[in-house]
Amino acid sequence: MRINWTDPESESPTWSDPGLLVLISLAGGSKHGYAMVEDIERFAGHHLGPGTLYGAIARLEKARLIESIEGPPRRRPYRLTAQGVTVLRSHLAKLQAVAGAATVRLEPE
Amino acid sequence: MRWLLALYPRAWRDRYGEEFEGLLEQERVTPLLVMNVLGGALDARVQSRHWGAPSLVAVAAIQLRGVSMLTSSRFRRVGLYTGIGVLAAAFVALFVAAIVYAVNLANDLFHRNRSIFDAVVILTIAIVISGLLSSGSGSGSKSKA
Repeated sequence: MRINWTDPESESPTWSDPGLLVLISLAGGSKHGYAMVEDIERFAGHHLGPGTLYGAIARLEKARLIESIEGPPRRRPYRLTAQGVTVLRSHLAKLQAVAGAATVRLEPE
Repeated sequence: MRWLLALYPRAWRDRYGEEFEGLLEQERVTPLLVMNVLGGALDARVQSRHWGAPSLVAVAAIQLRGVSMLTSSRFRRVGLYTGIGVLAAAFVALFVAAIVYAVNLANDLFHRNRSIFDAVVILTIAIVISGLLSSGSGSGSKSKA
């Protein structure tokens, strides 16, 4: 399933969606590609290949959810935009609602 | 690995090429990595909807020329070969795209068992190559008999 990042009403991504993982990684501060790969591996246990990572970066940049900042061309850093923060908050709220419902149902009565 | 970058659209390479190369240098080269980069190139082309306008025009022109040649008895054979060539190229491209998609999908499913997955990919490639070689030698011995 491909997420339409420019549409705030679109379906929420899954936890393993590369775009969502990149947004979460950049929520912790600006990073270049390799730093994102390492960070995502650390917090999600998922190794993003270069093709997958840059596919997600290109989509998110096109949707203006992330932007590049000054840095060496081979290690260009990216950061979240204000719109990116809003979209990330919105998707996380939806995912947390699902996780919350599951947690409540698993609790013994 | 740098040669794989040539598969990405030019605009994409201008924008991300240098940093992408920087990231590739940090990665261990495996069949999985090659498949991932190929999948990325396919994805970048679908995203940019850029399949190379000149190449599409050229293919269309060749096909039209092929059709017109087919209708003319003088160039019937040339037209037929052109059509078959274009169709064969399209099938090969679709086949490669399907394999890349399937491998990336399988990688998503089995990403925790990376070494097993690499072994399966290498084994599959070896089986396909040995199958092709044996069928080639089989047809050769048949023609001799």
